[in-house]
Amino acid sequence: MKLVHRDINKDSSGQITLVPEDGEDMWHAYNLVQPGDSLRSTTLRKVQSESSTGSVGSSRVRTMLTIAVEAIDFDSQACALHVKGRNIQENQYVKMGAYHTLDLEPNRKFVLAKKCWDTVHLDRINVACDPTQNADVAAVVMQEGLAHVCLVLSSMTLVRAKIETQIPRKRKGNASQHDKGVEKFFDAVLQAIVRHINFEVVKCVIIASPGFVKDQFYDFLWLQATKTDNRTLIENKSKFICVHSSSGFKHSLKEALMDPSVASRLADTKATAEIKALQDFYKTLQHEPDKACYGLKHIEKASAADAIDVLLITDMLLRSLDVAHRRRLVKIVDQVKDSGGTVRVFSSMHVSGEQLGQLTGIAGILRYVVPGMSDSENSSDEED
Amino acid sequence: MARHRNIRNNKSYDYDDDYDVYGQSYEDDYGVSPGTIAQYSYSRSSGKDVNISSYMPSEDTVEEEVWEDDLCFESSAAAQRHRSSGSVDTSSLNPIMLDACLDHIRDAVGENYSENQMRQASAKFNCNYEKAIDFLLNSSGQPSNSKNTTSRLPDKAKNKDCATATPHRTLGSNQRNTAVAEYAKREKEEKKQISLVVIGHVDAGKSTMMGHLLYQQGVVSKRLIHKYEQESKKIGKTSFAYAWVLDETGEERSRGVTMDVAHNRFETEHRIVTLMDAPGHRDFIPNMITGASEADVAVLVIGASTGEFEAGFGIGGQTREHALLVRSLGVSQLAVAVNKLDTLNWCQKRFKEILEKMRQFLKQAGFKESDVTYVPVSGLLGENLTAKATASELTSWYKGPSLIEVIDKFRAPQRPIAFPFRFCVNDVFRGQGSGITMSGKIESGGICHGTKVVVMPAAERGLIKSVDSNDGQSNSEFVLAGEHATLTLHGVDIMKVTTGSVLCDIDNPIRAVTRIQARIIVFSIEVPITRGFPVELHYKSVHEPAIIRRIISQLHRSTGEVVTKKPKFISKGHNALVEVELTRPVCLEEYSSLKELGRFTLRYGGSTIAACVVTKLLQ
Repeated sequence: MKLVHRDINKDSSGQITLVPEDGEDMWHAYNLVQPGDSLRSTTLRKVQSESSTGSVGSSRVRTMLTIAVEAIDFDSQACALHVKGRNIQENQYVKMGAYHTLDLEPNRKFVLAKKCWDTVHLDRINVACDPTQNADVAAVVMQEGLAHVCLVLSSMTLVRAKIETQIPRKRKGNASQHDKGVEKFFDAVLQAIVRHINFEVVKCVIIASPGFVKDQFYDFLWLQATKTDNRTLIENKSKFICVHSSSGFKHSLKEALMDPSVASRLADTKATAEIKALQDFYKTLQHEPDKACYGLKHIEKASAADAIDVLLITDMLLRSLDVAHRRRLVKIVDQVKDSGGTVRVFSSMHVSGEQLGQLTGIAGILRYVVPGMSDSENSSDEED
Repeated sequence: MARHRNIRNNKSYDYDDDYDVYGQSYEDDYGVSPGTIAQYSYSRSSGKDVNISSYMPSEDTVEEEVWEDDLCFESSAAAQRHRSSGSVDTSSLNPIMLDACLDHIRDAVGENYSENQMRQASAKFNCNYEKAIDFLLNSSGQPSNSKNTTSRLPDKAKNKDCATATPHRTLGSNQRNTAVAEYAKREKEEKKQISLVVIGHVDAGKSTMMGHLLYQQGVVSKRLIHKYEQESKKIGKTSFAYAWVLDETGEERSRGVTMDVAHNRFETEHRIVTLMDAPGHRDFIPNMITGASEADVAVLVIGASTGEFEAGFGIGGQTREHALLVRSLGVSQLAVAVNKLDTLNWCQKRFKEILEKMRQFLKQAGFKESDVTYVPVSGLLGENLTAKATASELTSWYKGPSLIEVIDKFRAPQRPIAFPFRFCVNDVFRGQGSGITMSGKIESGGICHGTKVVVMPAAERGLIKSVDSNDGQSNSEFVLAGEHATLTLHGVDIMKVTTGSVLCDIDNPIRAVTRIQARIIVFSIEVPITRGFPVELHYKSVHEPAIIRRIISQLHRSTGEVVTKKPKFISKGHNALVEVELTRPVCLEEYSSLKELGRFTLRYGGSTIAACVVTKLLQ
């Protein structure tokens, strides 16, 4: 994402001009835009024109529109952001107050104006505009009969394809159906890899599985590549790594990413940092349960006592539509930062973010035990 | 042109005549009589029902054919049967009518009267069942012992129920009675069936031992073993020759590792044993769970060579995990086979050492002392497997039974025969002929061919075309709970039936749920279980990702009383009541109604974290 212009007043209202470049920038924009803000960008509008002869015709006109944001929608498959709102600036073609849906287009600048730019937003803009954070890793987690082909970006994990087939088991005296089923399955996975993975952008391709499936698949891959003389695969041979995971389900992706042989290549990408932070939290919960807490009420108490060392929060919570709720959360974030702790905002598109989200979405590791925490046991807030 | 002229509505302007021609089916110019129109053009308002469903074949047509076929078959078979029954002359009567009459009588008063009496009555009143029933009830003839009737009922009713075409009778309940009767008969006459699973740490010698045992029992021919020896020598794995009996895929043979459960079958003096050889490798535990959940008894194989026992028994080893898993899946009888003692020259000290450690551990795990037997064996040499030990070093101190004698003494558990029919599908494939073939174990009830079943969770109805128990070696038509069988199903799309589906009784299908409440026993884990914890649920052949939705309460380890309500997390060794949510529906029963279908395990990150029991099915 490119930052073009930044204009923030003392009372933290103001506007920022950005140019998104790829899908991930759309995700950052999704986290920045909130209902109540105003968004200005060029867009296509269908205009009805009545000619002098009385015939009606419609044409699509490109115009600059400023809208007051009411609803935001992010399409994760296509990585596109649709923002719906009413027109608040005089325009040649669109009436004031008329509804319009803006599709943010890549490589076109947009101006976002907010009443209050808080630290979380500004952090996100910094992260988004940082050119060094660009680790794209493709991962295939598989087991017999099930495979997920995913793309792990720094703030999103996109599942590009899920392949599930029924492979007959080996039976007494007849193992051929099993072998045939396995061949078909591998073929389907190979097709998905070739179709969805862009080898130019991707740093490495991880193949993870329990047992020997990964080795079998790796051999199959090379056999097919040489047979069909697939240039892209052959050139990128060095990018493929086989690691061990405990299953082929999506949550095993975490284990694949934490594997030491992969970690060296990924170094300090956000994805691995998030996974590690969550692991630390669970370890603390196991060994020193009083120093780990989760749930909004508990965290608020702890942060009021300046006790939080590491705060884990998902961006889904921060995206909440209720302004007051968001203000509470930002307050906690600021408190933690002021007291010298670290704040990690987990992307809800990552597997670790999903897990944190299931655990109420906000958690923290404390510096010291805060008295009076375990008393308020009765409220288990989230009821689902 | 002119502004005031209404150009828009003027159709006869500007258009080429050509366009008209192609759009019409007949010339506009001349008139057509209504008769011709009626004959040649389609009219929508014809009054008959033209909805699309009238063009699709109705569902019943397939089954109707079946009924018809069977009806034809039935009449000739019925005639045959009545002729052969001998004692009563019923040849003059229409066999089908006689059968129908007998059914009615049986429904009404069947338990108290013998076949013969019923036949007599029907013959007397020329198949007027009401009069026959009156006669039977009023007659001074003693109603014969009900036991007699039930023992003879299976012979006649067995064939009949399968082929009978009376749709208004509830096949379910009657079939259940016959299943119960059949079970009672088999209990007395035939050998009991048990399912045995072989577990143990990787490379303990499970496959080799079982392969050798099968060879010694005569299930595997000498020629085949010889062939395996030759082939394994070629790829440098000579010691695996016996294991090749069970490891049949190319992958397993080349790597020397069992990856999936292998099914086989052998007979001992008093038992018919279905053998399941489970993999020992950590990564293949889901497959081992599939096998263990179908088993009644288990053989735990321990490699006794130096260092091997310690490796298996330690933290990362599978000896512990397998034993715990098998216990939590309902196996209570265990034979511990201490293998590879021949490498230590049958050292008694080593055997005792292993015995002591295992005894401690198994007692903690929940096995009763009396249900565990320790046997020293050698899988490779075949020592102490089927015959009493011969090696002198062994016989000097070991006087106990051989492995097969221990297996022979295992008690077969009570099978839930009266419970509605449930069949857990383990594998789906295309066998010979049409329809879908599936293999698995019958958990409750009984079935024969020609029965209608429901496939859950797809909720599709189908017909069982053929039932094949134990690879066609047994010739009885009925397959009962506790047996492994291969069924062929008709009328269901293959996409709808997967590993993990359950075939059920049509009147009483199993529930497919996504949310369950369960009581869990947490094993030793590194990460405490919190709300939202992603786990894998393993149940029979189903391995699904799941989330712990809520932790309801923490329970006391032994008494089960509530210790804390809504705890923040559960750590190792504790019991708790939780809610688990799945992404896809799974067919389960509550533990209190059917034990076999009420147990599952939870795993995370390659290790088992909890053994669970279903307390309630939520939705």
